[in-house]
Amino acid sequence: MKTLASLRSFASALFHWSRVESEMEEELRAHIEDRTRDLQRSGVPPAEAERLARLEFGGYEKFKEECHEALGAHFVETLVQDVWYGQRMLRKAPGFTAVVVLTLAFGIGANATIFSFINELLIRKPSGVAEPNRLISIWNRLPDGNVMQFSYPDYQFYRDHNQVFSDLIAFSSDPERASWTENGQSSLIYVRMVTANYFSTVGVNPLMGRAFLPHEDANPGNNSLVFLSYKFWRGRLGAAPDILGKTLTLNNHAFTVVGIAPRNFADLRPEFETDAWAPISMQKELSPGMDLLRDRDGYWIWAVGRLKPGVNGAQAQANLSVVAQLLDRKDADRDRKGWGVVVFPNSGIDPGGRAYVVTFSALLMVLVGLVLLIASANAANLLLARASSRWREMTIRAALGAKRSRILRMVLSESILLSLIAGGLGILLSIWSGRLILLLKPSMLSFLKFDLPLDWRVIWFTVLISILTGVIFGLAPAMYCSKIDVAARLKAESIGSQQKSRFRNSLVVVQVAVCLVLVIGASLCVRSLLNARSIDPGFAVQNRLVVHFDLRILGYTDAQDRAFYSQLVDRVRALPGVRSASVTNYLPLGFESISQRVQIEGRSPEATKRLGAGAMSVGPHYFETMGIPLLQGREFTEADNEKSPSVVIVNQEFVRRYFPGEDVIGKRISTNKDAHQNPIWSDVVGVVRTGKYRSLRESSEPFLYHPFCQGFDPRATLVVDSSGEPRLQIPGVRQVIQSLDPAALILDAQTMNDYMTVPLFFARITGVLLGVFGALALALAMVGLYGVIAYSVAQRTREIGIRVALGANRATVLVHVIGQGLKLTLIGAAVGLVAAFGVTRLIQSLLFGLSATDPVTFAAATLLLVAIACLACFLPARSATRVDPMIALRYE
Amino acid sequence: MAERAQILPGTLDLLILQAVSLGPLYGYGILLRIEQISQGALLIEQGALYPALFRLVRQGLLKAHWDLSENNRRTKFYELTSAGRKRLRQEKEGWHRLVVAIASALNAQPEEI
Repeated sequence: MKTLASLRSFASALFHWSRVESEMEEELRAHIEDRTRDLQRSGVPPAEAERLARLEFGGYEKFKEECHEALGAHFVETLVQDVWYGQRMLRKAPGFTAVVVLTLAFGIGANATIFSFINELLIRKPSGVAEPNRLISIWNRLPDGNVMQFSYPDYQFYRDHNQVFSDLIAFSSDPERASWTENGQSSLIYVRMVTANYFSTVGVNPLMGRAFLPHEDANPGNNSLVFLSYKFWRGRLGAAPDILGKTLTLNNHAFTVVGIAPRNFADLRPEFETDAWAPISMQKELSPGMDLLRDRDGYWIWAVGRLKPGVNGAQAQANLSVVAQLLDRKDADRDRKGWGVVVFPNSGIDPGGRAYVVTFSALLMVLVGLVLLIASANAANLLLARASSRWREMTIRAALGAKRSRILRMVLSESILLSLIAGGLGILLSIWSGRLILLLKPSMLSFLKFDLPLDWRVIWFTVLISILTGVIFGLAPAMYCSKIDVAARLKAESIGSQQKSRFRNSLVVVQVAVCLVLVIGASLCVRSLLNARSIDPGFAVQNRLVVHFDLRILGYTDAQDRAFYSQLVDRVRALPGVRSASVTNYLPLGFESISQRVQIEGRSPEATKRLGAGAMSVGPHYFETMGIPLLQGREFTEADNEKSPSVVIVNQEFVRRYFPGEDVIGKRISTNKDAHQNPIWSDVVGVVRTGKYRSLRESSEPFLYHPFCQGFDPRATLVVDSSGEPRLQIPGVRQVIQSLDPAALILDAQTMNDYMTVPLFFARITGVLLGVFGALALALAMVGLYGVIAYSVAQRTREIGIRVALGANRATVLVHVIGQGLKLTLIGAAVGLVAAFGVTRLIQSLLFGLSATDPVTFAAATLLLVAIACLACFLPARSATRVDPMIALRYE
Repeated sequence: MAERAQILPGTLDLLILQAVSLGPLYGYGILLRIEQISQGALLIEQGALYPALFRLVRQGLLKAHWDLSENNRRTKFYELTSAGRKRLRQEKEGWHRLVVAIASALNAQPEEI
């Protein structure tokens, strides 16, 4: 009964607060009227009667407030009131509102942007998956603590012997690149090989057709079927309704379409582009040249299991460890010493990569957190400046009986309202800036897919940090406003301004300090990027076109492959505008690298035990095409083929280390795996200049080159030296390839300049982000500094007027005001320098040719900051010099 | 006028319940009724009446409805609910016990110890 009544009163107050409000008003007023009438009847004069009635009644506002509280709807109702009141106040001061909202929007937007990346990479579960939290990925744990994928036979063993999964699925770690031929044209398609239970375990219901049936993955080479992604079906097959049962020619092999995935399912690893899924039994057809299904030591399988009901991760771990021991016993002949198994919650990113992403995003989160801190300090400063003009208003409210907590909340709801508006704007900013950041992705990473959907997590995050920001920057002004001694306040205007300006000054000091850390970090990154650009990679970058191939999909013999490449190079060299062309099995500074042990003829195996060098296989004219100077001997020619004597070309560093002071031409070295027993000797026929091979940061490394035909690889890159814009050669090259084999496929064609964005990718993205955040921080901090100085000048108009009246000249005033701002800046800069010294070493590994505590950068960034700070102080200082003493003294 | 006593904290609710128990009343009427039944001996801060009334309604001890008063004005009337009646009885008993106890304590003479 009681609860019911109180609930009813609460509800009615909540939903009809305006009615409740007016009824309460009516009731209280009636009381005073009745009283006045009674007093008049008892002989009090009318004017006196009403005054007396009011006096007897006591604090009208206070009692009204207490009535509201008694109703229980107080909180919500006053909140509505506060927000209403807040927006009215904000509309009255549009300039102030715009500055605060914009300031905060940048800070919040930066946070939302970074968070949307983190959400995409680390938090969001792949969509279209039933009960994603019940999926567990399992990994080999190596003795050094790293994790590794499974081989297919190992997967089968775990599948058959575990007791914790209702189903265990396997799929190829990365989608396979395949050539899809249609009407004589080939294009690239990404196919993931999966076990037949993949879709049923993941919980995917086909949009059309069917998923794979059990045992459709059982016999290698059987069941050439594909299940298509919605995106592929819509985008590249025009959503053909009669697609089921039709065939697609992939790698010159016919695959029958059995089903289409629903729109919301991309893959268990949605970061990778996946156009289609095929039974894992088609491994040989999809990645020709490799036989992985029976290979116990080929680790390419991701294994993901669905936990049986009632089983948790720890139980799965325990059971799988037992299975790992069983496997050790079965495969006692394998080198699996110290190997274990480890489970992780399923995620699109492998555990090793995840750790890296977590570190990197934590770093970014700290960065944007600092930017938001600066923005909040700005907003707090602006709010404080305004608080003094609203002092009287607050004092009057307090005098009328408003409680301190009520005033506190009123001011806070105003600041939260501000930050929520800023948050809305920030989300818009983050959508836009997220797209901009994605543009930085090099085209070589085109198989990586990022959409940054605006999901509820990003929105909640933004709302949350907006409210938090509102509380943080609103709290100080709110405390200040609500600390009211009515009597003292009504008398004087600016008691406590001393304390307030000290608080505002310290805010500026913090802003300048944080800002300096960011500016130093940004300058370091930008300088390092410039350094990296000027690092000579050892080959020519301008005017070069690079085209990547993988001939394995054509299912050629090695001899056919070689013939293909030699014809390709010959015909491309004949194209107009092509100065030279050649092939290599990989390009330096990319994702690949090969190193080999080196044996030197005439030296004991003991003496050469630790010798090694990087290695690649290159075609004739490679050095000419790449612009690598030949220092001694000759280039490879068409005559250096698989039948001719084995030859190598080495770099200068190789000579310096292994043949100091000797003439290396004609010396013989061996690099085959069992060289210590039966070496295959190769003559050194040339020496080239040392370049960069694995990273731009490396010092000189020994390197050697084999002729392309002697160290053959069906995956290769064509390099073209063009006399004009290299992109213009792409159609010609494409035509040559079409004429050689229509099924042959260009994986990627780009200029060498574009290719060079890959080795610089992380440095570049860090540089760009830090640069943007640094500039943003600088701008925000300077707005803050300007605000504080301008405000203090406005407040001290009278004092400055007296100074001028007493004979101070304009220059003195100017110096005085700028000096005041400069003092704050210098204190902040000192703090910032110390902090930067401690913090910047975190990015040392991303810097090129630059120490993380580079004194020049530190000094330059500090000078820049101080110079801009002077500018920010100059504008208010100039207005201080224009103070007319007569007007200033007459003021008040 | 005789000297007026400040009411003890917490007793306003009791006085309101007692006043309303004699028949439905509006706010100012309750004040007058209390003055009347206490023979004007109690000093009440008039405004304090209303938060107390709202609180009692919320606790379900009083119920309120709008009606026309004797001089034809829309007025909010309060009356006792059964819970209020019960509470009034309990409070009265408690109060009497307290008064007797305090009174006998204050009247204690040295020889009685």
